[in-house]
Amino acid sequence: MIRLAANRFGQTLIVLFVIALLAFVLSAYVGDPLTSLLPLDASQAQRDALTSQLNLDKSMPERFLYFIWDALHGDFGISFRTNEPVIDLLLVRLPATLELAFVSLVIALAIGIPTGIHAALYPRSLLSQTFMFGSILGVTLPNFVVGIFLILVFSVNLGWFNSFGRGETVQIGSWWTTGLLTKSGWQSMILPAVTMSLFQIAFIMRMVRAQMQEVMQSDYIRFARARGVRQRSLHYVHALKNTLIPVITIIGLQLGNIIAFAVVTEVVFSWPGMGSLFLQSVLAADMPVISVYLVMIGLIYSLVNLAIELIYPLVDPRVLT
Amino acid sequence: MRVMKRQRDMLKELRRCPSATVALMVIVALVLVAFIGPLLISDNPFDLINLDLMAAYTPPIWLDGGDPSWPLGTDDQGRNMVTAMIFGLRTSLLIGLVAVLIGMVFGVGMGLISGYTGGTVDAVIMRIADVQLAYPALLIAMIIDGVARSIKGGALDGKTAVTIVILSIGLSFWVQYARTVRSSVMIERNLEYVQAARVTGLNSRQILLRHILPNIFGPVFVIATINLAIAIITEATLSFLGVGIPLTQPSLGTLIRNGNTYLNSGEWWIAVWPCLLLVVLVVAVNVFGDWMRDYMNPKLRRGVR
Repeated sequence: MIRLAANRFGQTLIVLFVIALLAFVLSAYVGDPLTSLLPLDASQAQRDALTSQLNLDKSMPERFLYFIWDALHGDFGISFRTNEPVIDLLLVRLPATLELAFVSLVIALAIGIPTGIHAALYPRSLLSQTFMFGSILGVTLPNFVVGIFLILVFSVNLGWFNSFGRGETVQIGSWWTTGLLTKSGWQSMILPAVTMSLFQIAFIMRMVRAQMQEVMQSDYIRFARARGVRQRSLHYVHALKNTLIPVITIIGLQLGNIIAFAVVTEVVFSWPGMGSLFLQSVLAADMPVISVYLVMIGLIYSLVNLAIELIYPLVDPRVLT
Repeated sequence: MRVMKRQRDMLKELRRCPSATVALMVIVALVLVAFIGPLLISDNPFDLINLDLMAAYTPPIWLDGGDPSWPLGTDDQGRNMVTAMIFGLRTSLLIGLVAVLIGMVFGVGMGLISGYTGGTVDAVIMRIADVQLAYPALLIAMIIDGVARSIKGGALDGKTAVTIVILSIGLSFWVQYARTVRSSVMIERNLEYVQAARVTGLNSRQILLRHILPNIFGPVFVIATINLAIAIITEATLSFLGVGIPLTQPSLGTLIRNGNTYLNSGEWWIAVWPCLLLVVLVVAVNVFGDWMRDYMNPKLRRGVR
């Protein structure tokens, strides 16, 4: 077990190193920070000051070490677009994105798991077939198309919800802002959260259904049934427990996709989060911000992967053998 | 002869699944419209000469103010929505097809090399694949686009933008092909026919391309069909976000992006028609792709489902 953990940990570190190197190469060789950050009439002294501040006068290996060291201390450089530290840009937008992601995940789990169970237990019922057909649409429909139709129906025609922005927000602590405490905040939250959750609902439903069907075939369920375990506890305790573990794993590996959908959703609804920041940075060729995203997505993915591989044997000892 | 028989079998099998048959018919119809239609339309709606601003914002024919010459209405520049969508569809399909082809050629090549050579080469290729797997196609394409903008110094001209979109979508697909092909090659290379080919003195390239590749092409084709839908969606999304195809050579995504501006002011048709066309196209390709996957998978073919 410990050897496995060390092995996996080492592999993760190598992957992260490669990603960091790639991000460094992009930010070091693509674009020119001096012309981007300084005004056109900057003096030589200003140029020299910025050169040494950004370590541009050091050798490449040294700069790479500085890059990692600074990143570990929360310093991701200065945005070419706004001349602000990248970390400030990110922190201002973090709450909006996390709240949207959280609400959409809650919606996805609340709808995806029960419908998936139903579709697994009663595959021939009309309701299950409707769920399955709906899930095909959920997986196939492009995210922004869903957003556009939701805006058209619920915002333009019915006027129930807002189609852009976060509504009124309340400040909590020094930098966290929340839209979950005001009415207009919720009115703005519903449409983007539903848009983002649609793919996840469909995905979770299909996974729960597939896993549950497999689990229901297994011996221990048959024995439990023979032992006279009640139908209800058979389904929701015995079977569901073993269904959810692989489902959580697969959802974890979908995280990259969910981040991508977040970018699209935020742009459709002009949500002031990290996704729209990413698009603005791409359009403005803001390399420091782009490379932070590169590292961030890689980091999240590798850590989730690592966590899954380390937790899995604890939950299900069979995988070690 | 054998190929023809196989095709006949496939059609027979297809007829038993009505949804896949309909999907295939929809795909064929859309492809015909997209590639023959522009030849029959004399005035390219995206040629500035043909713009008719007086006709801008005409609603579809069944609404007040509709005009029979523009059955689905016109956009903000007075373009006929029908012809605009035909041109957009052509761009979307072309980009999707070329992107899938690029990803397939590159990925299959990598997979063949990786599976056949093994050792360090294999390890390096597969580690790169692992890293790339963390990033979905859309994000890879956006990052590549940002880098290209930075190198080009800001805005991209039309041709470069199209090339970058095609390349970035194509390259984001290679991992799937490489992994599939690699595992198949690792099985095939130990089979007798490969050993026989080697004994007759063929070199590795000939063995890989002429003998192994034809035997492992089934799954590759399935991935390609499913990827086509993803490629079309990714391109549409990129164009919608404004990092894809410019409005001078619009794709469906560009048309939707343009229409999105008028959503709140009541001209819903400018965005809705291209959205619907995109949905029909993507759903059809996906349904057909799903059927292909089941058809190619003998386990499912016996009606286990």
